[in-house]
Amino acid sequence: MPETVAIKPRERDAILQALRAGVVPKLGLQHIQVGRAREIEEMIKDIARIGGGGAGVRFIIGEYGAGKTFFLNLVRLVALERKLVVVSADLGPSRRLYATDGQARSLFNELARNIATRTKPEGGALASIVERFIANALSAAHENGPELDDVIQQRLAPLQDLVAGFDFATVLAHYSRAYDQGDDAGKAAALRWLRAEYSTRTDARVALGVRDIIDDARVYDYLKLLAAFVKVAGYDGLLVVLDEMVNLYKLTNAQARNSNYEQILHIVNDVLQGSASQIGFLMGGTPEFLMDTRRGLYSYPALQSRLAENGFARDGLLDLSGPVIRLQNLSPEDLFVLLRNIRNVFASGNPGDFLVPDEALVRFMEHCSKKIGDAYFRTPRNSVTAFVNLLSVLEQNPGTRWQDLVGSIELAADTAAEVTSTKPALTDAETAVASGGDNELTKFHL
Amino acid sequence: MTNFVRTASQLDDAARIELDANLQWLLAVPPELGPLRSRLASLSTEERHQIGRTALAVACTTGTINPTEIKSLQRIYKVLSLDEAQVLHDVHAFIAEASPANEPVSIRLALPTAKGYAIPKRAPTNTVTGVRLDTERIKQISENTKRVNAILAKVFQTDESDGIKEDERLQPTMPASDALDTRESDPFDGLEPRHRRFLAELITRREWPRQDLDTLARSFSLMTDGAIEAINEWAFERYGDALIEDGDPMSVNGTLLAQVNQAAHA
Repeated sequence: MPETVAIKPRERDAILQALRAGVVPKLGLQHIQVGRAREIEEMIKDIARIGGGGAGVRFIIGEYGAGKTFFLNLVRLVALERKLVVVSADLGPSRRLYATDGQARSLFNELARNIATRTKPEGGALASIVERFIANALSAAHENGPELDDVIQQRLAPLQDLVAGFDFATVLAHYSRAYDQGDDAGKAAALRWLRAEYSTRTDARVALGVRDIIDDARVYDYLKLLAAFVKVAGYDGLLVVLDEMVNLYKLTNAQARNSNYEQILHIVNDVLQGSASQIGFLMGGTPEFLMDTRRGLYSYPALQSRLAENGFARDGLLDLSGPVIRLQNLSPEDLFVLLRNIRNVFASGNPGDFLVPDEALVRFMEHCSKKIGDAYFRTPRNSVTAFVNLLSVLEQNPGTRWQDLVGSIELAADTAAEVTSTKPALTDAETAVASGGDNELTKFHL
Repeated sequence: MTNFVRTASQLDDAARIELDANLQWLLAVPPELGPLRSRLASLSTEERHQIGRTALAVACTTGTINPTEIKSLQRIYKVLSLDEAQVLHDVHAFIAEASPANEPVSIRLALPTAKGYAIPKRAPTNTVTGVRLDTERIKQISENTKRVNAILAKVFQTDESDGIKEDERLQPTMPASDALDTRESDPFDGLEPRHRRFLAELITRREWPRQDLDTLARSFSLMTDGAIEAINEWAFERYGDALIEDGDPMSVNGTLLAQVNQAAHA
């Protein structure tokens, strides 16, 4: 238990606000993480490998409610802390890895909008990264005398061999000129290109003088380009976090599905064969997405053989070196420890300030169990939200007894659990989850 | 299967031998599906599910599963009148749970006659009306959680004292300065001069509307976002947090600024 670790007010607020809204916090996750020490150790090693110029790919497989999104967010924070740039997005009907109708461009757009650095952990860091790069080039140009454009081209030399590397350099030079001339529209045009917001080559050529745009067919190539760029800009590498991969499994058109799986195969091959560098991929999905023999990754034989798990480790050693990490379903005990962690967050890490004793946690769980059955721990988003609300009431009303409140909490089962195939989840034992779309809040009446 | 029978708990040797013989017979002369089905029909859903899970455990003994095995299991589940779709969930639960990543399970003592290991009973499942918590399991999870917290604490070493200590180490090499003069040197050690001058100006106000900040940056020939990124990156390195908080207006992190100044005077 992190009882002795002080929790910063900013982190405390971020955690409690998010949990109250039924979403995964973006800050301070380390204070509520329950278990999974080895999985996280393994991810930290991956991040170190990416930072050292290597590559990695992991499939985080878990049931609805097992905490995939929580886990992904936590790894994302670790990566930011280790100076990686992180792009993240949920796949969906209109966001895929490969498409012919704009859906892959739309995925890239979402990734680019959510681009985050340690100092901008919530996303929107594209301009910061670009400007950091140009500023460095600028100061080199001042020192040595060459033209800024030349310095930019020279620094981007490692990108020239990659797909669209030349256009990329042109766009960055355009940005720096626009800055110089105080041309905000010019800057915006450059950022639009980098975010894959041009849908036709003609528009892009008119605005920026480039030949190409970031299109549907080469999202992975552009991600590699981005990885090479962030390295040049002074970061340690790029982590790409893709959640809700089950949306690929849901594609009914076999050809569309397979061309997406082919992209995944490319990624896996590049990583396993060592031809990718400074880039890592994390993909979150359900057991169906991985193992369904008709529509899951296992339906694509080349992928299946590469994703075969290594089996149980011998001599008690766990082998997590395979690309698949399975998250175990949650148990009531997991939830109990999570509730303890939340209580600890409320107390800012000071055990003397605990609002309720352990007994209250058990009573609370009993109450939830009575109201919603097993869902209270299997998909604990609503239980967690209700618990946070309970502690808030106790905090704001000193003198109130928890015994008088527990029995009157109203809560409903997480209905998303019933429709796991349409909006799988992001809940977690450790918390609740984020999904933008379906945050029905738990009702809490006293 | 053979192993399963030979190490089954709560059987004496005679029963074990009989069961083993039965197994050999069934392997040699597989039962016909029809009579088997009717015998299965008399079992409860939970019993049939248990049989399904036993087959699944056999398929997963290596800790891995392939599509052919999944298909076979789906057929078995079908024969058992179970939901085929359940196979994937059961496989996932089995592999994830059996993984040594999870803490060791407690094992019942075997009967004196048993030659193998007892298979631990499933943890008591919750009834709709009550919660039974396995204290042993809570202890394991707590320990695992403690471990993960320690690992993460190392990653997120935001302990402010680190930054200050680092500064203290640097202090002797720097000229003493008073509060008003800090803008040119000490507290911003490690920042590039152009960012340093910009920051000195920036901290004179608590909040900056985006436009004002752009103007200020421009007067120092800096790009706003790039400069803020560089300054915050530096602040993270030194003090474990961002100094300029994002938004419009952007604001200066007062707590951290106080710390920076404190470090300068330490």
